[in-house]
Formats: sequence, structure tokens, C-alpha cells
Amino acid sequence: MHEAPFVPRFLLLLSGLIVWAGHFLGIYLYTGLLCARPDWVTASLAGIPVLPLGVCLATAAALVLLVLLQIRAMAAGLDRFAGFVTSGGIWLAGLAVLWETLPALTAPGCA
Amino acid sequence: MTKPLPNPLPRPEGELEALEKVWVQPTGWRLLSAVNNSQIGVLYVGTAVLFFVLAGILALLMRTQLAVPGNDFVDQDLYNQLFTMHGTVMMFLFAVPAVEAMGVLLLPNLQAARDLPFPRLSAYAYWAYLIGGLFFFGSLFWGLAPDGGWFMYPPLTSYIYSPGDNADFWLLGIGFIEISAIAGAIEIIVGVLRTRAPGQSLDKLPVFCWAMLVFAGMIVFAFPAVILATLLLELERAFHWPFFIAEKGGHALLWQHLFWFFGHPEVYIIFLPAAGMVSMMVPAMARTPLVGYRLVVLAILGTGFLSFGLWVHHMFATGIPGMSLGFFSAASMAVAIPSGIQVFAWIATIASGRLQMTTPTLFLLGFLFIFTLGGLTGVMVAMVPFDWQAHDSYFIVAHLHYVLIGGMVFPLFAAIYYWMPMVSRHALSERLGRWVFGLMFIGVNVTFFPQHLAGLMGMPRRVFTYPADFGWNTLNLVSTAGAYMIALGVLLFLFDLARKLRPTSEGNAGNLWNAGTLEWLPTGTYQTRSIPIVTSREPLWDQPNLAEEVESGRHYLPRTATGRRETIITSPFDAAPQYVLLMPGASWRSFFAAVFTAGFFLLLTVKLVTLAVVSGGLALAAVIWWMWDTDPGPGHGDVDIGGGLVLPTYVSGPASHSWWAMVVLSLVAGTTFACLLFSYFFLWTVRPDLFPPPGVTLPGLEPAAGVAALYIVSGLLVAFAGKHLAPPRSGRHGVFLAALLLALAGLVAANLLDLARMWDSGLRPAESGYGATVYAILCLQTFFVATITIMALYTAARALAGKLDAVRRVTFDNTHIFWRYTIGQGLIGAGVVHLFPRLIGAG
Ligand code: HEM
Repeated sequence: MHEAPFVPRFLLLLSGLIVWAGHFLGIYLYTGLLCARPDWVTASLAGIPVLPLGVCLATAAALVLLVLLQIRAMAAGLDRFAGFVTSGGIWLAGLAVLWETLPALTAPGCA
Repeated sequence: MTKPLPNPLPRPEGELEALEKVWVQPTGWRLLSAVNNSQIGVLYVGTAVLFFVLAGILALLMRTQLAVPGNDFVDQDLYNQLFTMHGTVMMFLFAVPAVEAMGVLLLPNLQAARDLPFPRLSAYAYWAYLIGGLFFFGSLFWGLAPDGGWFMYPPLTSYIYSPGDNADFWLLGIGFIEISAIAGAIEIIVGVLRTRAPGQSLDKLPVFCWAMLVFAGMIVFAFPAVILATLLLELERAFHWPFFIAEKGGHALLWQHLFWFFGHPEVYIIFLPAAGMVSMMVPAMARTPLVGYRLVVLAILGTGFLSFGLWVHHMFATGIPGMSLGFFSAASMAVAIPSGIQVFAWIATIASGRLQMTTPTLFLLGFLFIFTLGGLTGVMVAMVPFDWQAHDSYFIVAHLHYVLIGGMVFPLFAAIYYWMPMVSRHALSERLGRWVFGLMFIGVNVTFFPQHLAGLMGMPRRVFTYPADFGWNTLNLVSTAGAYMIALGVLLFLFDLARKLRPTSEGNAGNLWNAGTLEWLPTGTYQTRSIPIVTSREPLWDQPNLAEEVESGRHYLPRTATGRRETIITSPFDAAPQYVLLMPGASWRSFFAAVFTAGFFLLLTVKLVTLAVVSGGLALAAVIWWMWDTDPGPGHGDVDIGGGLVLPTYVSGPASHSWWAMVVLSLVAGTTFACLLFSYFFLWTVRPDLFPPPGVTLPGLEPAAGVAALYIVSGLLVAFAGKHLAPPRSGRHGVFLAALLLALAGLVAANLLDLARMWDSGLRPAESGYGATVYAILCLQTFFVATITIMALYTAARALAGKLDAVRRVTFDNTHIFWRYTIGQGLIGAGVVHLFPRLIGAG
């Protein structure tokens, strides 16, 4: 009659997609903020402009998180269905995160 | 060896009659008091179809006007109202309610529940929608209809350029209808997660249920944005709080952000349930299970998330940073992947089975064709450079109709044909159905295909006429002819509907399609006689004799165990039975609550403030009357549902269904608040020099610390009260009541103190965008504090009435959840308005 608590189980199922959402919102807000401040956006760190740098760092963090989640999911002994949806979500999120980082490297910044 | 069934035969005499008696359905004018999903669901779908027809008539008027150049059938002002109303009614009164209605109707059947967990909430959502919708539509006849386009961009829609009540009709009407949609969404989330057939674990959940779960989740996170937007614009119109006025530090783009944060997910909010229905019908028509079930579920979840990354893609032409546009363009393309997965799953299913060429099948194929075309033009406009060209031309009108009609109208028609035998004594005519399909399919293509060309030839959208020498004449004439073909198809459909629709839950036409899911089990007013144990995704295909076993009462709960309406609440993952929920029967309470809530909003729209307040008070009274006999307590003891399972009839805490509803409601509130904080920070990015405006000094930090301390003390006191609920039948409520009321005093004081300090600082809401958002944050808090005040007094009244104690405590628990939320919001709000300006160097 009793099953493992719902919230952590459900969050794990959606974890990849949640990381994607956090990353997307993060880079969007970051770009918005930076572009609103002309004095900030021209700054650079070790020769790399802060705008793409920040986005790439966020991407790296998101990818590390996704890898950790995948390891966690594999260790959690999920059933076939939950395992598939969890890992699938993580992979989909990984692709989407990378895909969305491309503009940071190619698009014209704040123009 | 198969497991024995939970209940033996023969069933005791009178058992079925007793079950029928508690589920008896009101008829005649008492239908207004019905709360059962099978009745409300049918009315709900029917009303959505009504609005489709009404908005369709407006479309015909527009197409008649545009048939020839220089026409004077309708003038410019009326044309503006027509397209605004057509778009708004189609999106808000047809598309979203139609899929929500299908959810209310189908979910309990697909999950073999006797009803969804909050039947009166569904009834409330339905009546609110019907009444609000009809009045909203009626505004057209008084020339009061909104005319600012379906997305109502300010400054055009603010008080300067749109004086008069027209825009208010949109803002209050839509705000209100969205609230009804949220009520429905809460019902759907809790329903999908907690009222399933035993054994129907998440991996056996029908795809439509998954789609509705994601749909409802998206409503919870998307609709608050538009509710907040309408609220802010209404504040600007009524009290001149300048959220969207650039000269005063507001910004028109703020509206666009909030609107499209809702508006783009909205497209998927409409599309996902439609796709969910397709995933139910394709396997039934091809007589084989859906190929790639797990992938489809993943795709639905993925779409739900990714679609939120799209809001700015309606604003490519507004001068947002290039890189941000890049992010959104990327997300726009990424979301095509999950949609593609679903399309491939359907095609593979069709290929692996033997497709029967029925009317639902025709509509499904029509859907695939039209939607794919709409998707192709969608990928075109997702490219930023192309969008700059096609923006605001007829190309967009064509694209959006292909997507919406393909993605939603065709699946809905397929669904109506498909599920008609479930709700009605007769199925719809297959012969007429083919005509309906033919007329609509050809009609849609004849209407909208030429509009791509007209758009590329430069015809802008939203023009009431055009000169004869631009080369657009033939295209427009053809387009109008197509629109009349669609109308003919719809008329034929309505004719058939009038002939064949005879709603009933017993003696329906039955499983004509030999489908495999639970909604095709034999039913009565009580849904299925006994609640089946499910071991497969298509139980009727894989569990032989299931229908017969269920009907003879051999599965769970073949009776009314307490003499009231009941259903089984199951655990969210594995669908293990947890307790038996007692459900309300027919009741006028939710109906009156809906009537007076609608009255409140409508009277406010026409500025009859006193009457509006009276109506609001009556609505509140009706809600309290409705609530009063919820939380029935453990008086009915435990009941035996068969198979040795004895379940409680009352639980509290996280296992209780109402706990879930409160948590979802808190999420809605939290999203609204997050959108408001977004507005605050957004205005800061455009006008940092006004944070705060010159001449305004921030209120001191000590009073702010006092406010925070009061909130925290209030939180501790309610928790203390929760630990001192009186033992059952002891009547010792003194400590509880004292702590509760003190906690309330602390909460109210904190909010009032904050407001008073802010006012003393000289900041005024009407003078700057900064002031407006600061006061909006504080006033939203006031609204929540007022809500908590009512809830606290209600909780206290229940204690005094002997309806609340340490065991029978759900009322308190619900209040407590919302209380904690309100404190959290208060602390964050105070933190932002007092600390942020200091952080950026002001004060
Ligand atoms: C059934 C046949 C339909 C016809 C003949 C039709 C016709 C039209 C026409 C003539 C316009 C105005 C174009 C302009 O002047 O710019 C329009 C706009 C629009 N339609 Fe439809 N429509 C139909 C169905 C639908 C459906 C099913 C939906 C949504 C579910 C829908 C949503 C819209 C929207 C959102 C607009 C834009 C309104 C605006 O510009 O503010 N339409 N339609």
C-alpha cells in the first residue's frame, strides 16, 4: 500500500528536463541583464568576452549535472519505463543545452 | 495460475440498486446542480463546440467582407472587433476549454474511476466558463467588444488609446476564464495522479492521461503569466499605474514578455491533448498497440518543457539582443524533435496494423496532412530572417490556421466521432461523416493555402479591405469560397449531432471500434460496476473476460460501502489502492458560486463596483457553503473493497487528495509571484535610473526587519497551533484558537506595516513603473493575506462547530500549506523591495 515518496521519484523522472529549464532561464536572464548594462558587456576575462564565457560556463555546469543525474538514475534501480523516461529526458536535455549554446558562439551578442 | 478476483459471485441482492441510487443523475432544470463528470463533461464539450460555431460565424463575416476588393459589408471598426473576438474566442473559449472538457469527460473513464476527485470543482469551472464566455461574446452586440487584436498589445490597449470598456471586457473576461481553466487543471493533475484503476501504474497509463497531466502542468506554469499581465494592464487602465508606459519608466515590451510566456506554450497546451487523443485513436483504428509508447511519453514531457523556451519567438521583430534571439530560435527548432517523434510513432502504428477506414480515421489522416504543412511553414518562420519578412502578413494567418485547425480541430472532430458511442445511445453517421470530412478537409485547404501566396505577395493581416489592383483578388475570392465549404461541413455535422446525440451512460452504443482501453467497459451512472484491476496498457485486449467480470461486480468495490458516492484513491506511481474517497452528490453550491463569481467580474467590467462587491461576497458565501461539508472526518470507518483489502475512508497529510490540490494551488500562486518579480527586474533593466526615482528615499531597514520578524513569528505560531489541535470530541480548542488568531494578527500586521512604511517614503504607484511594481508586489501580498484571513476564520469556525480536531484535520492542513506559502512570498517580496535597490547602490 505504501510506495516510495512521490516528489523525489517524480523529480528524478523529470530531472534532465528541469536542468534544461534552469539552464535556459539562466542564460536568458544572464544575457538580458548583461545587455542592459553596456559597461558590463564589454568586459572580458582572460581575453574572452564575459557574455559567451558565462553562457559556456553555464553549459558546462549543466552538462556535469546531467552526467551526475544519469549516474544517479542508473544506481536508483528504476523499472524499465522510469529508467527509459529518465535517461531519455537527460539525453534530450543534453542535446538541447548544447544546441542552445551554439548561438553564444555564433550570434552577434547584444546587437 | 491466475489470481482469484477480489469479489465472489453471486453479489448480494440490492447491492446494484443501492449503487444506482447514490449515483442517480439529476434531470430537467436540476441538471444545473449536476456535478458528475459524465454530465458536466458532455455539457462542457458541447459548450466548446458552441463557441467554435460562434467564432466560426465571425470568421465567415470577415471572409465575406474580404471576398472582393473595396467591399463595404462591414466597416473598419467592426472588422477590428471581429478579428479580435474571433481570435480570442477561438483560443480562449474554444480551443483550451475543448481539450480540458475532453479531459473531464474521458479521464475517469480511461482510469475506471467513478469520478474525478473534485467533481464540484469541475462543475464550478464549467459554469464559470459558460456564463463568462456567453457574456464576453455578447459584448459584440453592444459594440463593446475588444478590438485590440487577440494579444492586446499596449500602449494601443491602455487608457490613452483605448478609453471605454472594450479592452476591460477582454482583460476581465479572459482573466476570469483563465481562472476557470486553472481550476480545471488542478482537478486534472490530482485526478490523473490519484484516481486510477488499481494496477494502472505510470507505465500503463493511457497516453491521453499523460498528455492531460502535462497539459495541466503547463497551465499551472503558463496561465499565471497572462493572469498577471491582465491584472497589471487593468491596474494601469483603472488607476494609471504605469507598468507599460515608457515615459514613466514602464515598458510596453513587458506585456509582450508576459503574454507570450503564456502564449507560446498555449499552442502546445492546445496541441498536446489533441495529440494525446490521436495516440488513443490510432491504435484502436489500426487494431494494434501504439508503437514506441515510452518514446511518445518522453516526447510529451519534452514538449511540455521545451515549449516554454519559445516565448520570445513571437517577438523576433522587436529588437531584443541578438544572442537571446539565437537561444529562442534554437529552442523553436528543438521542439520540433518531440513533435516529430509522435508523428513517426503514429505512422509506424498505422504501418504495423490494419487501418480501418472510418470517419475518425479520415479526420486523423487529415490532421497528419494539415498539421505537417503547418509545421513546415512553422520551421520557416522560426528562422529569424524569414520571420522579419513574413511578419504580420497573411502568411502568418495561413500558418497559424494550418497549425491550429490541423493540430486541434481535426483531432477534436476525430475524437467526437470516435467517443460518441461512449457517451450516446447512437454513434454518428459514418456516411454523413465522410461528407463532413470531405467538405472540411478540402475547405480548409482552399481557404488557407492561397493565403500563403497572398502573404508573400504582401497582403498584411488585419486589414478590413484592399484595393483592386494589387493582384490579391482571386486569391481572396477563392479563400472565401473555401470558408463557406468549411461552414457547410460543420453544418452537416451539427445536423447529424442533433439527430444522433442522446447522452447516456447506461445503454450507450458501446465499443464499436473494438478498442482496448478502459473507457469501453460497460458503464452505468456510477461508471463501471466494479473497479477493475489492470495489468496491461490495453486491458480489454489483454485481459480476456474483463468486461464481463467488471460488470458482474467481481473486481473492487462493486457497491457503495458507506451509502454515499465513493471512488478509490490510488498511489501516484504504482496505482495501489490507498483509501476510499467519499464524493459529493448533485449540489447547487458550485453552481451558485460560479454564477456570483461571474457576476463579480462582469459587474466590475461595466464599473458597477458596489454591485460587483455584493456579487463577490455572495460568491464567497457560496464557496464557504460548498466547503462546509467537505472534510467529513473518519466517521465512516474502514471499508472492505474486496480481495482482503480494507481501506480507510479518511486520511490527512500528504496522502490526502486535497493536500495535493493545495500544493498545486501554491505552485500557481508562486508562478504568479515569480512573473511579478520578473516584471520588477525587467523594468529595472530598462530604467535603472528610476530604481528608485529621484526624490524618493527608501524606507528604513529596521521596519523592514520588523516585517520579516512578524512573518516568521506568524509561521511559528501556526505550526504551534497545528500541534495543539484538540483531541477528538474533547472540545478543548482554547490553545489552538489563541495561537491561530495570534498568528493571523502577526501576518496582517506585517503586511500593513510594510505598506504603511512604503507610503511614508513618498513613493506613489502612479508616478513611476518602479512605484507601480513595488506596490503591485505589496498588494499581491495583501490579497494573499486577505485570503488567509478568510481561511483562518473558516478554520476557527470549524473548530468551534466541532468539525476540526487532531484527527479530522484536513481543513487546518490545507490552510497551513497556504499560510506557509504566503509567508514565503511575503519574505521574498519584502527582501526584493527593500534590499535590491540597496544592492544596486541606491538609498
Ligand atoms: C474554421 C475556419 C476558420 C476561418 C474561416 C478563419 C478565418 C479567420 C480570419 C478571416 C481571420 C482574420 C485575419 C485577419 O484579418 O488578419 C482569422 C484570424 C484568426 N483566427 Fe481564424 N479562422 C478559422 C478557424 C480558426 C480556429 C479553429 C482558430 C483557433 C483555434 C483560429 C484562430 C485565429 C486567430 C488566433 C486569429 C488572429 C486574430 C488576430 O489577428 O487578432 N481561427 N481567422
